[in-house]
Amino acid sequence: MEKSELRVRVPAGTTLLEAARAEGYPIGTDCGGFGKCRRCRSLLLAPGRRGEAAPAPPSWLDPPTPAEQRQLSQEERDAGWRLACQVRVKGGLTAFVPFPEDRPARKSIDTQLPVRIKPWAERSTIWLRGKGEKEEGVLVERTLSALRRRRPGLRIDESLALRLPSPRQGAEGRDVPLTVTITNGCVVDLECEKSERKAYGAVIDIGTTNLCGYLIDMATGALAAESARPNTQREWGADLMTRVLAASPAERGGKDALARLSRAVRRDVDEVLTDLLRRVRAKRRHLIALIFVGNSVMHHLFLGLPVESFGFAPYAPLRKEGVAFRPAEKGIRLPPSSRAHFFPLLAGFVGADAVGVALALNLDRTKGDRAILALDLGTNVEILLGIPGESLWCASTPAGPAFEAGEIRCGMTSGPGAVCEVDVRDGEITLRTIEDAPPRGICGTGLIDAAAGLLECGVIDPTGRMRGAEELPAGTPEDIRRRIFETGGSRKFMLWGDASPLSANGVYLDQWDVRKLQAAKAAVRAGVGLLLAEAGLGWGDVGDVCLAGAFGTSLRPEKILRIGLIPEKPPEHIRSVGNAAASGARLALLSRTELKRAGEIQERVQYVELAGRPEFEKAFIEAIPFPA
Amino acid sequence: MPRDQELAQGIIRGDRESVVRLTREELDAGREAVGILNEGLIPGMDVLGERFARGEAFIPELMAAAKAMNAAMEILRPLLEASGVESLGKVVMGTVKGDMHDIGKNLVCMMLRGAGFEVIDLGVNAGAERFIQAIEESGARLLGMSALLTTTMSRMGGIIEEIRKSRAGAGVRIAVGGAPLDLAYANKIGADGYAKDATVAVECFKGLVAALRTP
Repeated sequence: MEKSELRVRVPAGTTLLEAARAEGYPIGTDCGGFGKCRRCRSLLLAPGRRGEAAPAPPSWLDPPTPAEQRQLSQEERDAGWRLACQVRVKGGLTAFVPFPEDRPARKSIDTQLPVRIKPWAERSTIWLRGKGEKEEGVLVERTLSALRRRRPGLRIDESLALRLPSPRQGAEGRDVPLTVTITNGCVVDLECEKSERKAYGAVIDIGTTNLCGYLIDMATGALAAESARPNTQREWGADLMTRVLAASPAERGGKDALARLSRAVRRDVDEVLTDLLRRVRAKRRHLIALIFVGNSVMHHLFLGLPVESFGFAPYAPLRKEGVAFRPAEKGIRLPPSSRAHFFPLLAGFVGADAVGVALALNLDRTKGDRAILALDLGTNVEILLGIPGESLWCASTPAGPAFEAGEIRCGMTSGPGAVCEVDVRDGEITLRTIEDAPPRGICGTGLIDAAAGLLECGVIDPTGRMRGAEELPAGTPEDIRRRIFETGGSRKFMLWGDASPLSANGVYLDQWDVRKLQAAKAAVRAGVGLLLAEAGLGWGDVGDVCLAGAFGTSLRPEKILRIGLIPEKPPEHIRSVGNAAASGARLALLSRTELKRAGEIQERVQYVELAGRPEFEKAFIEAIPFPA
Repeated sequence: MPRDQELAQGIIRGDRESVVRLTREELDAGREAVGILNEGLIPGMDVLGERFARGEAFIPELMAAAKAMNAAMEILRPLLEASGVESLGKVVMGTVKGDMHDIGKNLVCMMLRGAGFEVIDLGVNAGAERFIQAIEESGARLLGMSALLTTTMSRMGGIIEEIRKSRAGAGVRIAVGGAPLDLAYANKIGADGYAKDATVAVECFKGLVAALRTP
């Protein structure tokens, strides 16, 4: 891997990808390591050889597999490039890996959303006058009856008796502190000390690719820590459907298929929580409440529910209602007093995250005279429409992985060095990368920007075709012209670096990347059009458009409009809302009214199924060209 | 011949009106239907297919060209049949059970019709019974199947097996396609052909026709 040397001993026959993964230096993939993408491409050299010197592949190397022949051009293979998921290691070798797995992109939670704090879980210290009790437990008994007097109807958790602490003896006449945790009107924990510690809640967003965790101060609602990690389930495959297959006993999974995938994601959740608590040096006991969001399949896999039904039409979840549970019962290392809710689901491909988005944006209570449209851009784009008069609609549309730069020639996730902004002005191209690191690849926002910029300077025509250098108008600057080249049967535009795809340092846009973006945006555009029609609205009835998704940086409204992701709209009406699902979950963590509202959203939402509709195809094809 | 180039250009541009007009004019001028097809229309489709393979043309262009082609075929078909030129064959097409995605499959249907196949389109969510019934009713010896999800793809093998076991399905040539598939998978599930996109699908079915004719 670049700049880092790694010596690994592995059993012969292990793939390079598995070897690197096992050693904790995972190589990036889009497909999960099944020869379906080219992100794990690596330059193989005989041991000891390094750098750009003439590569000499090791002699034991098997010839390229059919997958490698598909994913890598002849020139690339001749130069020594291979796919790490295909190469079986049988001897010493040095590999240059341009795309190690990126650490998950930071997804920002909005902690400024107003909420009246009325938590369903709280932890507070009360003081009792000590009477110098001799018997253990009496103090606790007195605490409970004092609490009952103050709050009639308060219940005591049955298992609490087993966990009651031995109180430190209170000296006669002196006040003794006791810290009580009350969750959903029930005393779940009691500590015989004054707690200097804050009580925390956590929002956990389980994504197909990454998990994000946010630790929230339950008293103030402030963000105390955040953490993210890749979803271990990616080893079973990158896309949702390969997970569904892997967790289906009747398919390739085998008897404990579901349990294996459940365990993997629960361990990930546990690690995220451990990291969050470590950052603020809090104990597990101080994490009293959790809200989980995620897509429907992640919801089922985490809770241990069968997922077969997602694989086949009508792609319905087994359970849609919100679930209350003890994390301890799901293998999470938290005390039984910690309680959690998983948000309800709206449909097979409109999950608990959509409920979070609706809460965060108040879509169920849209005010004014115009509707609010929210798009959560991923492989499946969730479309939410809040209409004044408390009506809420949703749909999902299949966009493919383009918005996350999946299956894009130089695509990468939003890690350091990902091109995230592209501007073309007066024939000059300026790039911005994440953390201003040297460009390594292009992420979703960069892809949208690059397409918008190349449309603007005429390199891409409105049908989406890349023009050859000789076709460009006479006034086109030489710097634009010389960036166009052709290899492997398709035209390319160099954004950065040498005009050679063999170079590990070049970042370019391929004609096929543009096509994938067109298909993705056409799916969104068609989905939005159909949902609006179903709700009896036109584009003029839509006010604000909110964009959520796993982007490292904010999408810029003028770029969105340039590629025609949505119809014309004043740019000031388009805004990026970060991880709106988590922002909404935070509200429900801090307020039982908001938690109840999550359930109401699920009961009230009107879901529109777009799959298999003839109008969808027509709208999709019409939406493929870019605005002229 | 410049008229053939005009026809080909009409197809490439997806200009249905001019393709229909030119086809009529050529017929009126005494040209044979088979000449118009083989020297004007099909070369146009070939050029577009090549552009599609490089990403230079995309779904809307291909759709428009296929529509123009079909419009011309409406005029030419009766004449071709009358002069003893046989249809390339009947193809039963469908997206497999559990899968509701059909844009790619519809594109394949359009292209096949344009190329002179007769297509029986079962739409989406088609199980083995529906495929078998369609073969029985139509006498088709060619069958195309698509899946867009990894999950529904995993059931394709079973459906193929069932079709092959049925009386009507024995000896039917089956081609498969769809985003999650590749040639290796197609071979594994016992398909006779695999096409990665709509233009390749036409070549694939032409190959299967040849295979049917030389037992």
